[in-house]
Amino acid sequence: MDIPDAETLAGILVASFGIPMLAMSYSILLPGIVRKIQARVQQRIGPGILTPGLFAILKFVFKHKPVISSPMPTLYKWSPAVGVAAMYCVVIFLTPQWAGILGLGSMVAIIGLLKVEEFVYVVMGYLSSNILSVRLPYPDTAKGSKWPDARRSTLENWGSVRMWKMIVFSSLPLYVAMFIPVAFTRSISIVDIVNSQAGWNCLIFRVPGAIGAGVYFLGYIALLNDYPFSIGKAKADLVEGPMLELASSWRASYYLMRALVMFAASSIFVTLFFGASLDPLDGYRLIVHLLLVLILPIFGAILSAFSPILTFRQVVPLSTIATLIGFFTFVITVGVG
Amino acid sequence: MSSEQNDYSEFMGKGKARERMFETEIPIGFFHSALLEPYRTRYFIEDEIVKDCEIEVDPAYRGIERMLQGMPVDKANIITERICGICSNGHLWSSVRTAETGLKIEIPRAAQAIRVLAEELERLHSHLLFIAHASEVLGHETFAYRSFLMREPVMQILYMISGNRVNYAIPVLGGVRPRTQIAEWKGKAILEAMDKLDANLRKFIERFLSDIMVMSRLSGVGVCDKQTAIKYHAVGPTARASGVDLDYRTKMPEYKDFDWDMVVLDEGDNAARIKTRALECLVSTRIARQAIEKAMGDSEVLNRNWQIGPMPVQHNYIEVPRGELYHSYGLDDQGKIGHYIVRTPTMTNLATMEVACVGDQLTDAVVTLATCDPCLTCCNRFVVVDEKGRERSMTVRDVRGGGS
Repeated sequence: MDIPDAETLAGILVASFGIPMLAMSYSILLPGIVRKIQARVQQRIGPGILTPGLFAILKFVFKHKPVISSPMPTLYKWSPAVGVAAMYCVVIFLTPQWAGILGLGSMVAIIGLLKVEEFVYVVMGYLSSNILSVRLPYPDTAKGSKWPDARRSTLENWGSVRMWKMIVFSSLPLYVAMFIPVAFTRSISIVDIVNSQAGWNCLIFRVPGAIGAGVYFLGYIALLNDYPFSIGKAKADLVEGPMLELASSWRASYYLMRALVMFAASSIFVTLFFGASLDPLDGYRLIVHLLLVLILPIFGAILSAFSPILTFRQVVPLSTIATLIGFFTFVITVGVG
Repeated sequence: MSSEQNDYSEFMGKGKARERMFETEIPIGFFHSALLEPYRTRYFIEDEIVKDCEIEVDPAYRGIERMLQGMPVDKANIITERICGICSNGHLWSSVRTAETGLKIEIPRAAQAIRVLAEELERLHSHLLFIAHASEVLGHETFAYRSFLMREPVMQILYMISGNRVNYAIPVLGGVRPRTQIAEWKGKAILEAMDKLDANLRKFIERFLSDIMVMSRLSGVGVCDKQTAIKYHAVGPTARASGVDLDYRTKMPEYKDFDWDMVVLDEGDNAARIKTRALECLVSTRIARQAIEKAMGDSEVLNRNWQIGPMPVQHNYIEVPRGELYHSYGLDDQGKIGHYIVRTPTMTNLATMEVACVGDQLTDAVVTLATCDPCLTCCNRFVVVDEKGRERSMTVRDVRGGGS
């Protein structure tokens, strides 16, 4: 590999540190915007824009740290940090400055990192055992119980099982949709995908792009575990699922991870379907990119406000249909060229 | 609990349960975000499907019946209002009605109408609270908030009539409290509020019942057929949603002069239980209007021409929002209470849901339990303790009076 010149090196440094800082600052606004929209749909005032993303994180950072009930508390506590790191990498790999470095600015790297984030929930679920799930001397062993000694799963364990299923079924549309721009460009490089849409020749304004964007949107909601795809942490039964034991600064790190996932997944959408790259050296494109990043959270907030939690009875057929639509769009795009 | 103190052996299972009729057990409660009141449900599941379910309701025991023993009847009546925060009027009315039947106290016509009005308003706000709670358990926060918004005018009307939003203290022996009489201006204001409420209710119910995503969660889930509902003695809207035409209002003389229809549906699923209550809201507004017309301008609301005396044990049933409510007691010659028994609808309704939720997905099973609108502080009436201080389950022998 050639040694980069000073200008390129400066660009890489800005992309590696400046863009993630910008992403973090911007992403903490997103939960507030989402909550505000949901509140207005529900005819309430709702929290301030900065409250869920910034003040909630600050509040949890300064809270007393309780002892976490987990067989491996350290790994459990640091799991959201792994998710934050993965999203950090997604954001920098979207920049054109990282395009030529070890092929990291490609779909393969980004999909792999998104999978890491999904897997974090599975790990957390297996590593947590909240007191809500413990056996009681009375009435669980009371006379008359048919199954006094049943094998018991914690709420988090079961959340973990559900997260596994969500990885298999519901985020699939997201990944299928990500390959529609690949079929359109016939390259897995982010820079190639962006360049093919130069001059506002956006993929989203074409039929396969519009279909792909719809499919991606469903996958985006599933990736965020938001309504209606929040079965993995359904309040009706699992309370918070894998995140049940996260408290104080560990919960703050989870909130940060979630905000970053929201930003990163939206940023991928804008890059792939609008061709607006996350270029720190192109101010105009950067501003357009940041504005377009709001699209998915806004639509997601509206969908969530009007949706109940869907169980696997609805999630499986829905995601299967979305995946098939995405897959056929991909095949037709490859065929038509 | 520190990580060192954890004992994970309980998660392994042993004995008969290890034969794996089901994959695992998920316990929910006593304290849980989906439960308004403490009860514990043990779901035995196989890949999300509930294979068996056990419910325990004991922690809400408050000993009110024991407290009422030997108390003067008028004081006891008002205490029964505290049995429940939602159907407080139902308990007070039932308690007062028990003594009135036994002592043959005549009730003025306007007082009867005001009692009916209060009960129907209570049914309205209870059903709307139920729809809000069911929506919350479904995960549909918007419908939950909208249902609460619908409920607010009903609470305001109750406040206008009684001066209170909860525990209205309307019925007293011989009629209703004089402050609750419906003057002309008050009646007109209430009717105006009812017009708006009715229009909004219709829109909301139509929107709720036509929501595809919500109905996909509710339809065909938690099915309780007519035979099961009868077998487990389901009452109220829970029974009526399963095709059982049982509404105690049809037997109550207070409702004789009112024009209304019983809502009975055949499906028996979660959607039907919610739909029954939603449609009953419209029936309640219809009855409430008639009650206002009957009571408006009539100042004779309390009969003081009666005397307290000994009364054999009386059995009294009325229809409250969740179903049949039973109050029973007798009086000694000083008018003091003896042998007070309250049986609330949740006792049998929750037992019916324990069966109905088998075969559901776990998340749906929680909704199934919620669709009988359980009210635990009403429900849990007694705990049997033996000579050694050990609690034990009730048997048929205990109920028939032969227990130790």
